Amino acid sequence: MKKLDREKPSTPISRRSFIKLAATAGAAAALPGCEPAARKLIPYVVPDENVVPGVPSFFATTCAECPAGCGVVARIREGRVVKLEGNPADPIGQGALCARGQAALQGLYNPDRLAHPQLRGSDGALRTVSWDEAGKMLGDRLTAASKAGKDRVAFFGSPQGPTFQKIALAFIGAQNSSRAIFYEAINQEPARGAAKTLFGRRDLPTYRIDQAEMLISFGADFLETWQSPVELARQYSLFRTPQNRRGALSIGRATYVGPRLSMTASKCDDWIATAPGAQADVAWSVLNVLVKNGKVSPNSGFDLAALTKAVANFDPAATSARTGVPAETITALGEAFGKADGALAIAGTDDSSAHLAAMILNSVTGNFGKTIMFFEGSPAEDTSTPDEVDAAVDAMRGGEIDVVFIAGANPVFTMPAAARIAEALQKVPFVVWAGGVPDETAAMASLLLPAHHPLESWRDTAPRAGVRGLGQPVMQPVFDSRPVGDILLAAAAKSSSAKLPWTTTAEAVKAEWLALASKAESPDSEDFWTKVRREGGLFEEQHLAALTLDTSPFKAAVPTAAQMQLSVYAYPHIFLYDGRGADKPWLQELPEPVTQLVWDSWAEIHPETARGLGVGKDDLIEIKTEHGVIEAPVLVASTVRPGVIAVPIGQGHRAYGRYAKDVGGNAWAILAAGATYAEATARATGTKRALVTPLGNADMMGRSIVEAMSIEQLAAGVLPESHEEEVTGPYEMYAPWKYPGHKWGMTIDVNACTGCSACVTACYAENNVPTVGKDGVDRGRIMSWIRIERYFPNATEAAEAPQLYLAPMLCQQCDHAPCEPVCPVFASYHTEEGLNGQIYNRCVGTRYCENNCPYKVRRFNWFVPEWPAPLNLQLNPDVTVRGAGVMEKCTFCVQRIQFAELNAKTEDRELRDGEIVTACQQACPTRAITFGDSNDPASAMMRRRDDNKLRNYRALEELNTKPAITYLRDLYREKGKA
Amino acid sequence: MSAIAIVSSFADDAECAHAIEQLRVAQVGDFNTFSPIPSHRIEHAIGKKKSPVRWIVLAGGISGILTGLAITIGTTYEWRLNAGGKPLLSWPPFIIICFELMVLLGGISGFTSVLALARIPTAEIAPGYNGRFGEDRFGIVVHCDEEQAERIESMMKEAGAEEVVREGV
Amino acid sequence: MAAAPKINTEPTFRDIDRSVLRVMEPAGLAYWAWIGFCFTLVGIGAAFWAHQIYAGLGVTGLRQPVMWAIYITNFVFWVGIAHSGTLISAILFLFRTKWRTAVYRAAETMTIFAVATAGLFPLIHLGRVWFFYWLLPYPNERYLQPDFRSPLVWDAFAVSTYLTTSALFWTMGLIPDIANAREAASGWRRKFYTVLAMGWQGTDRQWRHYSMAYLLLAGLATPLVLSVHSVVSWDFAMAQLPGWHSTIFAPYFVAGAIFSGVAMVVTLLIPMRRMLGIQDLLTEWHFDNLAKVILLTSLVVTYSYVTESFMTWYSGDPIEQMTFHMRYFGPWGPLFWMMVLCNCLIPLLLFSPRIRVNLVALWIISIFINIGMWLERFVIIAGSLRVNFEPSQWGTYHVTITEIMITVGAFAWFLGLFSLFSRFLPIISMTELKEGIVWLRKALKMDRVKAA
Repeated sequence: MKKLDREKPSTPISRRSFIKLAATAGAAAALPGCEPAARKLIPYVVPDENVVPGVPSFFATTCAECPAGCGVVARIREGRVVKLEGNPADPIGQGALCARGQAALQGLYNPDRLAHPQLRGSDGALRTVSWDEAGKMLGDRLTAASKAGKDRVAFFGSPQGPTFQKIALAFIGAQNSSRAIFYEAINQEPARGAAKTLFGRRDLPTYRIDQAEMLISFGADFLETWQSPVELARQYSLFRTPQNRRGALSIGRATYVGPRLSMTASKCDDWIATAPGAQADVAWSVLNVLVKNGKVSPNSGFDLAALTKAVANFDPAATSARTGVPAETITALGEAFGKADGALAIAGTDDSSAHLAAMILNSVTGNFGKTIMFFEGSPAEDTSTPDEVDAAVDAMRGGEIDVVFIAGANPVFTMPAAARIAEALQKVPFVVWAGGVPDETAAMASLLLPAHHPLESWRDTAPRAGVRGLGQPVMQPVFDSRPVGDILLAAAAKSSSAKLPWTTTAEAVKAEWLALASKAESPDSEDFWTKVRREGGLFEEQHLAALTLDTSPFKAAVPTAAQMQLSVYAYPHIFLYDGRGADKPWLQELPEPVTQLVWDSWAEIHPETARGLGVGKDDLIEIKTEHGVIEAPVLVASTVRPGVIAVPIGQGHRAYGRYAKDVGGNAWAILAAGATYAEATARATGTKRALVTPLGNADMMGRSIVEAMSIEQLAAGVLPESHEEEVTGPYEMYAPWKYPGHKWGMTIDVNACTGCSACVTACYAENNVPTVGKDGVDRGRIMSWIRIERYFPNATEAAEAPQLYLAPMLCQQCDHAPCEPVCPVFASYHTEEGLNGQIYNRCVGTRYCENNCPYKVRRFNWFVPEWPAPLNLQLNPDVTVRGAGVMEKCTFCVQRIQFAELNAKTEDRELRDGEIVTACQQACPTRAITFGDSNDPASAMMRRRDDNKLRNYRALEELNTKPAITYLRDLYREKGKA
Repeated sequence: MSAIAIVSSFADDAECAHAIEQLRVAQVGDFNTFSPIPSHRIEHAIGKKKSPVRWIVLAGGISGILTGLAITIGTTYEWRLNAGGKPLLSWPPFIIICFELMVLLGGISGFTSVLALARIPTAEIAPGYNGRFGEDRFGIVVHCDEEQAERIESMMKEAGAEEVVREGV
Repeated sequence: MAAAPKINTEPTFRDIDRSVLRVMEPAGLAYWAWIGFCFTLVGIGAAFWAHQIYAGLGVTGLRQPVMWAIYITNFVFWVGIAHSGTLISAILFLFRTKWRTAVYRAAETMTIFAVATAGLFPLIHLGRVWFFYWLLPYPNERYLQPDFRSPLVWDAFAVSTYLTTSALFWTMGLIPDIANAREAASGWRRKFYTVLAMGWQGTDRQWRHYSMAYLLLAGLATPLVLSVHSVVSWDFAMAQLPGWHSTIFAPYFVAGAIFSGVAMVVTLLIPMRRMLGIQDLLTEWHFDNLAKVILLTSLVVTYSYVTESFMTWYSGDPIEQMTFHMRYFGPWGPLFWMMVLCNCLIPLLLFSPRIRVNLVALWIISIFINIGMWLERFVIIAGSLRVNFEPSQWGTYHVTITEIMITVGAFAWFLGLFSLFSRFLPIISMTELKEGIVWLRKALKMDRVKAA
């Protein structure tokens, strides 16, 4: 208690609050983790006065798991980062963080990370070398190469922020070369291309779905992997929140056009199943309808005649004939889009055409500046163009390059077979690889250098105009690694006489940022430096760019959809993205929301097509395209269009650590450069490989687990048929238990839940939930405390219900918990604050509680859980690590409740509403989860409940378990209504 | 003062019981019997009142019930934990515990009381005991002194004793 | 041992003693080989258990949502077996049933060892067996006691009470017989029995208290036996899982218990009778009566099945109905129909008097019943767990070698103990047989008549 008082100023109050960040900035300056000099994790011999055992400190930094560039706040305990959460100050993530962001920790603590520099001998075997040796060798090679002539040294890496880009360019410049390639496998080239054609600029627009009332996505999985999922998901949930639009209560209308019912598509009202690549055709056709209906706003600057000519080939009937999409569907879509007060069309296809059409759609309906906008001062493009990439690879293949320095991007895995990158690398005498877990590219390198994880190094991001994220090291390096920037700078210094502006990344980043200080309001640069580190970046006003329309391109539009018998459509796995997530067990074990599959890749095939091919569930098929071959087990599902085989990208690693190696097949291998689909042939191999899922039965059987109602019903104030008779107060045999003080509860808005599973990963991280591997999941031992329920509407519902039911299921903390009275030893009991407590060290493991739990949310430790070092460093010290033989379950993050209550107590004040934020709630991009005190009618949680009375429901309410969680029904639009 | 023991054995309990009645008529009190089976005839003939074991068992049973109430109610109030929103005093389950303990203590007290009252375990062999009394013979051992001996022996023979032996003590 | 000397149809007390005590003469190699075999299996089972404790319950096939399966099935099965013993020894004693005397010692012995076997399984199935004693109330510094609302605590009390009480009852019955054995035996055996007999001499004083206590113990054991299996059934009835949550479970399980128990008695006695050469003490008359009990309880069990299904249909609860639909027609449907065949149809053969006294047929039928009753428990326990309230969490269960070997070990444990007993202590109560000698004579006459 005393200690806490002394530490009061540095005790954070809420993850959300600015004060906390301010208070910990002091510590930020002093924590050893921030001194690049320190290289080892050592136990405290002399304790650091900034590190108080048991008291976390928080550091703002940035997420490097995808180009979206969300800000994060890292929670540090005893000098090691134990949890990542969204940075509330960051305008993109706004405090939320997706599953991939959460899992960055397992990249940091990955047991397979390269621990020391290694050199590949002539026999191909690796031997550990010292940094000096490695540095010298690199220096010599570079000197030799740069002396040998111009452009004989190449840098090939992933974009790692503007400052890093500068360092890399400085490095390459010093090598008398200009070959610096920044490669992002999933890039925005088509979008940039479209912008270029239409507005003569290659930057990316910013979207405001929440400003629209109509949304069409032409194959953009904006809730999963497209551009900035967290931000767009948040906007989408606002878009779908019932609100009065022109006098009527309504939700935004969303349509998805694409080959697969992705998670995104499942959250839209309509899924228009087209062949991959046919989206453009539909997009132009929708435009055609608009043009015909004279919806082209006069001040949009378009020449109507030219436009009409451009869309001439896309009469709905014609398009329908080509794509099989009913003409009336397209017409209806076009009309709705024209009518909508605020509409947005986005495209995620690999061809510029769809992007162009979408952009024109937005433009002609005058939505630029409203639902989509270009801003002044967009950051410089951070990826090289395909031509530059090809040129570099050709140069390597041509033997024109002596040394290539690879940092990130894993080109051998992600580049299309056509690029023949592996072959090219073999032609390069000296390949240097710097990174974390040695991947397929490292396997081809002569010198392997352990690089800092982004969380260990200084870095910055520039996701878009007005947003600059600053990444600071949040802890000491776990391994004997160095920042890539430092390696480059050191090498450059050794190998050339060129004068470099900085010697370390830290120096470079600070210099770069102090240069920004002038722009910022605070004149004193040190204040500025503290401020930006505290807030995690510099976030400024954005200013709309003046757009100059170039109306030349419209002749270009011609039907593009090539007719294919059978095509394979590869989409980035929501959790593995381009493959970089595959080394993280949390992400491998997280069921893909739509298929619910784990630890594998699969071939999703429509029942018809499967019958045609004569294959069934789990049959291992060989999918062949002109580019390559991939094997995957069949998943027969109607979530994909007939004639299309959908395979996830991200698996199929042949290196990249124990968790990724030899799991599934690599879908990049069957694609052309920049393509997402290809014509394919498929044949059964005759063998089977069982796909593994924690899902038992996909049919909810009309049980009240996930419920939905139509917006029309909501507007009319009526309950869904199944619930017309109001639930009358259930018969009580006993006087209800009293909960003076707090009684914790939760409200979950199923309509807001997208199924993205950020909550699940957050729970794994916060509560030390172990992963069990493919076999474990197959044997029904998955440990997740919170899961995303996925149910298909059954035949009778299908006409009305949403495409899929998706909702989080966790311990309902029932007042009449069936699990409690059956426990012989009070290991499961009810706390004075209404929690369903589980006392691990009292549990004897009868497992009766789980038998009696209707929601099946309790998890049993069948074995002693394992976290191969150093993964164990991530374990949250506030939560017991359970041993074998005990039952465990969600406790509403009781440790966080305790933490907040203790703070309130030490500060001698009442607990504030919203002060306690559970891990799942914190992570949720759409804020679907609200936690609070149900004894306090004013709490946000209770208000959300009461403001949506008609949507309230409790899971399996008829059992009278009295859950502390109230769900808000999912909302859908009755089919055929505008 | 009984100096001798007269051991007489019978083929069945009817005769044995008859002999016992004779003894009681003759006011000879100091005797005991052996039998391979519990015989009601003999028990009636001896005419002792019912065994007090039943009261001990009753007491045992009642104490069991009380113990049950004590531990269930006691432990519940020792730490008032809420399980499933059920009231602290959930009688139905408590009754089960009480019942089981009633049976348990009743049974134990029954068994132990027999040991106590029947004076077993014991190492000493009662005078006149003979293996056959456990098998198929009913025996009566009368403790008397010289002058009564003759009379009793004849009494036994009349009653149908197969053999009558006189043992010095 | 020498071939059984034929007893004439007028056996005397002495004949009875002879034929019973002859069983207790030193045994031959075959017997010891059998004992050795049994306890080797026990050893193997124990090894698997040890490994399970060390590695964790993951070595079993248990999973979400089938948290209970083979182990609890075995527990209920063995507790059920136990019941007939007490039924025959206590309840039939109170009813003064005549044919009971020759059978009850064996039945009661079976009870003791069946409970001793059953008692192992709640321990084996625990996640942390080393804390099993937390289920019992005892003073502790944590002021923490078991929750008496939990059916598992009722179990702990009921089963331990049952074991203790029936052990006492059994011991009391043995004392006079052991005294007989003492007289007959010589050498170390005599010393052994002398100690066990505790100096019993059958004096009037001893008999007087003995008879009263025996009667009272029988009186206590009678409600106990009914309560124990009711409590066991409440492990399931008190849960709200569809397929478990049913008010008829108590009577339904008790009937099933007696059904399976008597069947097990028959399974054990028929071979034992021949091996120990006591045909003349265990007559067809006895088996005829046992068979009648089996038939009756079989009908009660069948009725329970019908009632259960009817109530499910009548309740109109779709979730309950889905559970039963899966029970009948789901992937485990065959188990259910196998159970119906064994428990409902095959026992109907016993309506035929000829089959009732055809010991080979009777033995085979009893085996079927044992299988059927084991299946019944498995279908109810694991089958209901598979199909719960939460379709997304449905999942099926596959047994593992660990569970099989531990189960085999448990069966061996039971048979081994029973076999040991049968040669070292009187397997038939001489005292009571003598008491009811008239009935034995009748029975023998009947046999002879049939034989002629």
